[in-house]
Amino acid sequence: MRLVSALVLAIACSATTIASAQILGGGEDKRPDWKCPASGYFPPVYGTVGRNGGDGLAPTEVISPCTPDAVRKAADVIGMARSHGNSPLGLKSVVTAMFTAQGTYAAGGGAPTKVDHLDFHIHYGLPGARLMVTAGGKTAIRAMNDDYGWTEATEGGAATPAQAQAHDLYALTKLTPYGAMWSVIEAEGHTQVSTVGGKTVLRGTSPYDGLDVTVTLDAQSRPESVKVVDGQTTYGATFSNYRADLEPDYLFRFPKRLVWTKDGKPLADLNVTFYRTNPYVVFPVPAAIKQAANR
Amino acid sequence: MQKNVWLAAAALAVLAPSVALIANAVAQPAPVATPAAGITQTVDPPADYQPPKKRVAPFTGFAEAMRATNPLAKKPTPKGPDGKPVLSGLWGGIPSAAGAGGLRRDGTFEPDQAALQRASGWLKPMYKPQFWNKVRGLDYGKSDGDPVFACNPGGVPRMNVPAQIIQTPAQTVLVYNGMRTRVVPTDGRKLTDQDFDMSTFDGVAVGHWDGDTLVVETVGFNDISWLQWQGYFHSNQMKVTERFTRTGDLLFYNYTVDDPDVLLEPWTQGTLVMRLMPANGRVVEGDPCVVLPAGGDPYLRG
Repeated sequence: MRLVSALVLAIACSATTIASAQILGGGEDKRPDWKCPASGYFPPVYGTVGRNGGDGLAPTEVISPCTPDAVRKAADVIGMARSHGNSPLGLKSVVTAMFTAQGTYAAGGGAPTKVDHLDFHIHYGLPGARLMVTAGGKTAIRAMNDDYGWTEATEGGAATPAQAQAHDLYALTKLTPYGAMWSVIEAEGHTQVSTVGGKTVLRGTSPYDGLDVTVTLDAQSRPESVKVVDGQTTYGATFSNYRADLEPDYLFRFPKRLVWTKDGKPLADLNVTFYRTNPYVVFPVPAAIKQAANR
Repeated sequence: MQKNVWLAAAALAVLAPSVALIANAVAQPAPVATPAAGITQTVDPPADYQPPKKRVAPFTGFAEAMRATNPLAKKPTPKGPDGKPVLSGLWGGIPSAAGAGGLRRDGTFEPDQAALQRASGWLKPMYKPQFWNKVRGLDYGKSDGDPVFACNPGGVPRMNVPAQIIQTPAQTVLVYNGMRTRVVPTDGRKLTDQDFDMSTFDGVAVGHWDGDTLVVETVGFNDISWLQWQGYFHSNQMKVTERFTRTGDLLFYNYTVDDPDVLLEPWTQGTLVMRLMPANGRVVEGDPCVVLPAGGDPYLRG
């Protein structure tokens, strides 16, 4: 099958000499001559890609001309930036994620304790999340979708309103490399790029959530640490041991170790054992939760 | 030269990782060499442009952008003698605003296409919780579980929008690349109990007009095909409702899957947008399908 694709690609490339130089040169930015407005935001522009089965093309948002190159580079290194052609790239190519980890986690504001496993399912776009922490054979589940929050007896099972937790759970989604990058991508031209101690630092606030997110990049432009300021609460994360083997073949990079803090206190120390990019994760808001929220 | 660029773009646009359907062959109508037909979007936004209050899913944003800015949407919508929009014609994809297709670097094409396709699917079918792991298992099963790779038809709604529509007052013929064809009566007949009992890939369809939108209701499915390649299975109780709306020379298409056996709620796939292609194109028969061996392609996790 790859051969078929390669063959068609070769035919397509040979159809045009100008395109082939751009295509096979690889990686250069040929974004159209779009100018970033004074506001620092650019309306979404969509590229189209094929779909497996059927003739309709799927749209994906391409990089804004307001986006700093350092943001693009970091997104590229960890697999968020993908090509619609030779370029410009789409930077939001990780919309959902899920991982399983072992380690410690501080539930309810206490000291971290050992967990059997922690499962985190995330939809960066909706947004939505489900955090399932299993310790001593018991699983505590928190979920959110947009501004609804609730707990579940089982995954997707009986729900109890927990509205106040929705925002906290959303903030935890920023303690992943992709979640943090979503903030500085969505901040577009408002993202500040600086160098601190020889490291590139990106700082931006998504217009969709108001969280102040600072991402420090390592020497390979991968997110190394994150600081998230949410009103009076400050979250932190460090990422290490980025690997490709958590999901072979797809060119994603995800850290095997994540260490989280909340207001300077340890929140979690996690060793990732399973990871998937763009998996099937859903967060249907239970009717009882909508009812409790009077919506 | 411009035409060649569009040819390259269109050829790559129909590629996808995994695509047995490509091997089965796709003779696209020749693309039009008019950039205005595709690249739609605001290129000179106001200086004070601000983002919307909420994030917009790509399918939603794209369809809105097409309606608002694509010159083809501004053309008059032709009407037939019955006063209904003329859907007849060859329909092709909108060229990418990102320009001609190609490789970011060697070896990135299939991973990139897979990531981009997946990332476009913000709005996922809401399966009942007891099926969530099943979907993930099918999704992670590479090509092994996908019925298409066993040379089954994609079926409805996976093959989604047709490449050609032939419309008459009493029936509408939907022709897909590879020449798979559906004949949809639009003579006022209703679905029967027997229609629901059929077990087919494409189902049994009837159509009616809701204002200027052709609505096609289809039942009588087997439970073999998938809704999409990410492991989205369905039961044989599924009902699919498709909507075809022509605006100028653009066709807006979406479908809703109602399958209470496995879904918590009906699922509406995001709107696909097609453009009218030159009438001198044609849809041709596909190549014979080749069954892939189990685990035959590492890029087909899903």
